Amino acid sequence: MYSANASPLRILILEDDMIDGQQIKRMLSRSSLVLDRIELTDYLENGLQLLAVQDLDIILLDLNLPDSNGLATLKSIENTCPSVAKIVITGEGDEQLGLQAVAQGAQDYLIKGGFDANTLIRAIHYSLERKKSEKALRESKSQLDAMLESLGDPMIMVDKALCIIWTNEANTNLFGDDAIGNQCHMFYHDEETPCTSESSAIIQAFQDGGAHSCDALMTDKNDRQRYFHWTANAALRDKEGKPTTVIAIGRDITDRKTAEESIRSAYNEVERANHELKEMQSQVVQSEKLASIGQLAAGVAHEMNTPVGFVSCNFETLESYLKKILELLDMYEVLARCVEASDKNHRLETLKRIKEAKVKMRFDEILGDLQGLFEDSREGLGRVTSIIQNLRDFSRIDQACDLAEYNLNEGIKTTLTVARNEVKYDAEVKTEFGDVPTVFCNAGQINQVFLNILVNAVQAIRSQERETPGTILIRTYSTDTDVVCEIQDNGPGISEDKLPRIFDPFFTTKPAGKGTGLGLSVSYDIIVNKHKGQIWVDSNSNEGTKFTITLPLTVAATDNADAESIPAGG
Amino acid sequence: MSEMKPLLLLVDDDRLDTLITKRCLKELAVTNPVVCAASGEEAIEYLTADSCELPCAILLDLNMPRMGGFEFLEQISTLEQFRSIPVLILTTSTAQEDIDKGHTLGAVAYIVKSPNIVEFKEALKCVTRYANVAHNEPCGMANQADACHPMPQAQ
Ligand SMILES: Nc1ncnc2c1ncn2[C@@H]1O[C@H](COP(=O)(O)OP(=O)(O)OP(=O)(O)O)[C@@H](O)[C@H]1O
Ligand SMILES: [Mg+2]
Repeated sequence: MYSANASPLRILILEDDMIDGQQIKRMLSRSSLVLDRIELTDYLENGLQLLAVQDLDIILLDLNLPDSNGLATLKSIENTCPSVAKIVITGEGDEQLGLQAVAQGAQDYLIKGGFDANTLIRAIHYSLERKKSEKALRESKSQLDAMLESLGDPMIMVDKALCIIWTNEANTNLFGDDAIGNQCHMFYHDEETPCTSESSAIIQAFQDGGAHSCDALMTDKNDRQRYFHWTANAALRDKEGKPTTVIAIGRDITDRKTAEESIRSAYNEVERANHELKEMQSQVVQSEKLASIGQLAAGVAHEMNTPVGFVSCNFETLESYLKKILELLDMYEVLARCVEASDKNHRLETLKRIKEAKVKMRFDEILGDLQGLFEDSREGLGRVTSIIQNLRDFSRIDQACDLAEYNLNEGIKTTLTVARNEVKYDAEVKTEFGDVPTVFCNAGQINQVFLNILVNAVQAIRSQERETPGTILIRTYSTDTDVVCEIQDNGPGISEDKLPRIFDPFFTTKPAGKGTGLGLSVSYDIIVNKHKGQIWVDSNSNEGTKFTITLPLTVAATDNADAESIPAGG
Repeated sequence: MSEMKPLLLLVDDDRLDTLITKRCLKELAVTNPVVCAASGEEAIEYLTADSCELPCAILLDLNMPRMGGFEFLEQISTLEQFRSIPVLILTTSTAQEDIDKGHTLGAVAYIVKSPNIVEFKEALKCVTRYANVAHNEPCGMANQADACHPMPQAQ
C-alpha cells in the first residue's frame, strides 16, 4: 500500500547489537518493501558520516550506542538530517523514552525484541507517511512565514498579557528587533500603562474576540513619526472561544493622513478666508454706509446753506430796521416829555424832526417790508425744517428698533425728496403707486437701496449726455406674498456681459472717484440677506434698465442687528 | 414813478431762490415789478400770452426740470419779437462749458447763485443796468455782458 510508484527505499539501521541489526535487516529484505539499499552501522559517528554523504529515507535508531546515549542520540541525528523519518528502538520497559523521542522529532518507536516483521513494516509505512505530512506542514508553514515576512506591513502577535510573542520582519525593520517579550504599549509607545480599550484595536479584539481597527501615531526606530492603521483579530482561542492570542497588522497611512491633513488645513484656510471676506464685507458695508452718509451730508449742507444764509441775511436787515425803529421810538419819548413840559413851538419842532427822520430812514418802506421779511424768513426756515424732516424720514434715525412697519410708497417718496437735487435736472420721475400693505423692515436700509438704484439710474441717463431728460418710472404693487417695487429707467441699459457682475462688490463701470461699485452689492445684502427679499435686474441695451425689488409680507425674524448674516449660497 | 418801471421776468423753479433774488433786487434798489415763472414752459406761456407786457430783462435759472434754461434760450431766440430782450443767466453752475454755452445762445450776463447772499447780491448788481431800460430801446448788450465777469465763485 505504501505508494506503488514510490521510489525504492534507502534505509539506515543504527544498532550496536549486530544480531538485532542483522535480524531487522532480514525482516526488511524479506518484506514486500521495495528497497534500494539497507545500511547497517553501530556507532553514531559512523551513522552521521553516512548521513552526510548519502540521501536516506528512514533511520531505525537504537538510542543507546557505544558513543551516544538516550535522547541525545536522536538530537544529533535530528540536527544532521531533519528531513529523514526516524523510528526509535528502545529497550524493554523504556516506553516512556520512546514517547519522549516521538515528542522530539521521531515519528514512531519500537520495543527491542518486541516486534515482528509486520509491526516493523507498519511502523515504517506510518513513519514515512507521517514525515511526509510533517514536511508538507513545515513547508506550508515556512511558505506562510515567508509570506508574512515578505509582507511590507508590520505584523505582531500578542498574548493575553499584551506581550509581543511574534513579529514579522517588516515590524523589525520599522520598529527595531527588541519587540519579542515586550508589552506592546511599552515597545511602541514607551508607556508603562496599556492603551485604553477605546484607542487600542488589540485590546478590543481581546475583549470580544472580533476584528477591530484603530489609527495610531507611532515613532519608528529612526524617530520619524508615522501614522498606522492597525487591524487586530483573535489568532488563537481557549476552549470557551476567548482569544488567547491576537494578531495585528499595521498599514502605514502617513501619506493618506498627511493628504487628509493638508486637505483639512486647506479647508481651514478656505474657512478662514471666507470668514475674513465676510468680515471685510461687513466693514465695506459699514464704510459704504459712512460714505453715503457723508455724501448725503455734503448734499444736505449744500442745500441748507442757501436758506440759512438767506434767513441770517434777513435777520441783519431786521436788526437794522429795529435799530431805526428804536431811534424813532427815542424821538417819540422826547416828544412825550415835551407834551407835558415844553411849549408848543418846541413840540412842533420835535415833531418835525421826527417826520424828517422817518423820511430819511424810509420808514414806510421799512414797515411795508417788515412783514415780507418775516414771511421770507419763515419760508427759509421752513426749507431747513423740511430738509431735516426728509433726512429723518429717510434714515429713520428716530426709529427705536431695527425693524418697524414700513410703507413702501412713503419710503419711496421720502427717498425721492432726498434725491431731488441729484435727479431733477437729468430725469423726470414718474410714480405709479399701488395699494401696498405695510411690511416689517428696516426703513433706513430699504430707503438706502432705493437711493442707490435711483442714483444709478440718474447716473446712467446722465452718461448718455442726451438732449432731453430721461424718464424714471417707479411702480409699486403687492402680490399674495410680497410687496414689489420696480424702478425702470430709459437709460443706456446694461450690456449682457456686464449683467451677471453688477451685484459683485467693487464692480463699476464708472470712472475712478465716481463709483465705488458697492451700491448694488450693499443693496443685495440689505434686500436678500437682511430682509429675505429678492432683487433682480432686467436690462436691454436699447430700452434701459429695470430693477425689481420684493419684500416678503411676513418677515421671518432675522438677525438684523449687524452685517453678520450669511450670504445666500455660502 | 415806481409804477412806471418796466417788468423783470424771473424764471426759476425754486421758490426760495425766487424769494432770495427778489429780496436782493430790492436791497439793490431795483424796484421794478418782478413776474415769476417756475419753468421754461411757464415763461414761454407768459411771453406768448396776448395781454402780456414784455419785460425789460429776463433773469433765467439754468437748472430746471423739463424745459431747462438753455432750451428756453434756444426757443425764444427763434422768436423775433423776443430777441431784443436781454437775458441774464442765474445759476449755481460754475462750469466753463455752461458759461460758454450761455454766451453762444445770446445771454448778456452769467450770474452765479452763491449761497453767500452778500456775494450773490454783488453779482446781481449788473441787473440794475437793464432794469430801467424798456426792452425795445437799443443798447450794447454784448459789451455789458462782459462787464459782469469775473463772476464771484460759488463755495
Ligand atoms: N440703471 C442702470 N443703468 C445702467 N447701468 C447700471 C444701472 N445700474 C447699475 N448699473 C451698472 O452697474 C454697475 C454697478 O453699480 P453699483 O451701484 O453697484 O456701483 P456704482 O454705481 O458703479 O458705484 P457706487 O454705487 O458705489 O457709487 C454700475 O457701475 C453700472 O455699470
Ligand atoms: Mg451706484
